Amino acid sequence: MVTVVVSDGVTFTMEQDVAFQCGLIADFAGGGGDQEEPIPIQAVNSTVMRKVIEYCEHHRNDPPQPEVPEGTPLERKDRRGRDAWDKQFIQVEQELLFEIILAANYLNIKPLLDLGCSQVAEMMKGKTPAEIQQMFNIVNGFTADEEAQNGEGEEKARNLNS
Amino acid sequence: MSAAVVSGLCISSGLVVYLLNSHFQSPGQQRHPVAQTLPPELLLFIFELVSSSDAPGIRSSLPPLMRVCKAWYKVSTPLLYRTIVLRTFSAARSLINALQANPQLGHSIISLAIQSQHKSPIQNLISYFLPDTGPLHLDTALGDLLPLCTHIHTVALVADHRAVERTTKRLSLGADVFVSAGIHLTGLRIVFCDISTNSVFSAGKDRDFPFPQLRSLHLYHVYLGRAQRFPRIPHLEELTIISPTFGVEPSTTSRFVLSISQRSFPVLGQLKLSLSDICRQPIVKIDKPLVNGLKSLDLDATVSRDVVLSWLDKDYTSNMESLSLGRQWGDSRDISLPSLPIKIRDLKLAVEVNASALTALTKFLGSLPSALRNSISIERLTLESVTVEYFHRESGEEWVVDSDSFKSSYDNVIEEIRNCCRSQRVSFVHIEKQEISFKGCIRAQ
Repeated sequence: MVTVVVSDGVTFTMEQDVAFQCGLIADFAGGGGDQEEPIPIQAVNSTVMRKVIEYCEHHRNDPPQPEVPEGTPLERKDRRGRDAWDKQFIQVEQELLFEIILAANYLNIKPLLDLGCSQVAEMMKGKTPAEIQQMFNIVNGFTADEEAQNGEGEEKARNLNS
Repeated sequence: MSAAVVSGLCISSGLVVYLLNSHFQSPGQQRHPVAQTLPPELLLFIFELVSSSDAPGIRSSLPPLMRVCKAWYKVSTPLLYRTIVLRTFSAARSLINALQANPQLGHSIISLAIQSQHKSPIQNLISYFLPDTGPLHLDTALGDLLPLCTHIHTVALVADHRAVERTTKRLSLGADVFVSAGIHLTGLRIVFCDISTNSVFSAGKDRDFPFPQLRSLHLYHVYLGRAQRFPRIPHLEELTIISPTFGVEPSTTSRFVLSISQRSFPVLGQLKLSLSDICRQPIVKIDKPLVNGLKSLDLDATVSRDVVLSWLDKDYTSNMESLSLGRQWGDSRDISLPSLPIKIRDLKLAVEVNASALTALTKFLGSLPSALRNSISIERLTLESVTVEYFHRESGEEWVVDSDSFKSSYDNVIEEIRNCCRSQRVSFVHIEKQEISFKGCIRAQ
């Protein structure tokens, strides 16, 4: 069993195979024996941790992912297929989605990071800049000059790839 | 006293509320920075996912992202320059201008594809008056571009073989410049190339291969020499050679031999050979140590006896996970199918499943040492282009089959394969069928 304590002081105890899907915990525990002291995870709160554990428990029996060499084009990566459960799991509010992504990044859970980022990517696909700004509540902060330059840049890009 | 207690409780519960707020509510209160607080490397990953379905070189999904905010502009611009496909002079010129104005962008380019063709007289005439629209000369473009792309890893050249010959010479010169600057080409993809005469690929004792760091080499529609050997490429992990399928004027008409040896490729893990040059009947020689090191082999060519013998060798310690044997393998039928690596994930056979191929399959399964048979597991057997022949054995006449027996014989073939595997105690998890076709005549009922 592995015990972790998150930022708001809540402790979670889980089986080793669930916990070790988090690269960070696996590294911390060093792969041997039961951990006596709870592992502090300051960057994640209990709401997010609960979601993370839910994910790890569901995927505890998955075969290990093959190592993909650095720099492999995305299209060629053998990505874990998103099943119905994953799709349902990641249907969460935007704030929680981004927190899950940050937690997956911090805890080093590659499949969950992939799942979260793919979800955000799906949300962005085919949207105009204004729609994206509205969706994520982003202030663009471009000056008028920069806007004009942007237009030129796009023009260049279009020429390049024509 | 009691009031103090109550107020104390109030304070502590207020504290609890505050703590809850800080953890559960704060993203809501400062809603806008959520997407912006993602670290750049995660943003980049998301942008890569967004643009991953774009066609190569056409990053149409990126421009909208660039205009969302400054931070996104910064992250997405290099992505736009990561893979470049150049087809015309004007594109090459605007790229060169952009890189000269902003040399930083040159660092983003990791893959460059240049597509060009030999000009016809009419094209020459048009490009004389309209130079910007003309097709690209590979060597001119590369000569100017390469020094600006300091972090480039992969170059793809698509042209007719004469243009490529000139360019690979230029590339080999450029390579020296890159090597001295500590920059190495790791991927090279060439379409149309006569590698028998190309200076880069002709193995010479006096000269080293100009791209020693090359990890992957893909040669499509290549012309091979009569006895093709490769220079030593010490780090090459992936090699693909696909010979022209049609419209070739081979430089020789005799048989030719392609030698792939461990001496040339000491760490090769993936090999794909598709040599469908019917007129010259290429023979592939793969030496034993090289076969031993392969993880994946995709072979559609007639192989020499040595290859098969190396598989049958008792010292053969296979690392092979994936084996695909193409149609032409069937031509080597006289030398029975090889004994297979022990742990193989994917086996793909493109064989004609008629009586003789079934015999071959049985023979190959039977050729395995009995001690190994139980430990062999093949996760997926794919049968490609399975053809079942309906010919009368003696007279050569076509059988006329009704659709019911057509269907049942189709099922019979699959069942026969299953039985064959079962009787040899080889386990297959899946049998996938692709392009199953039947020769013969079907009479609908």
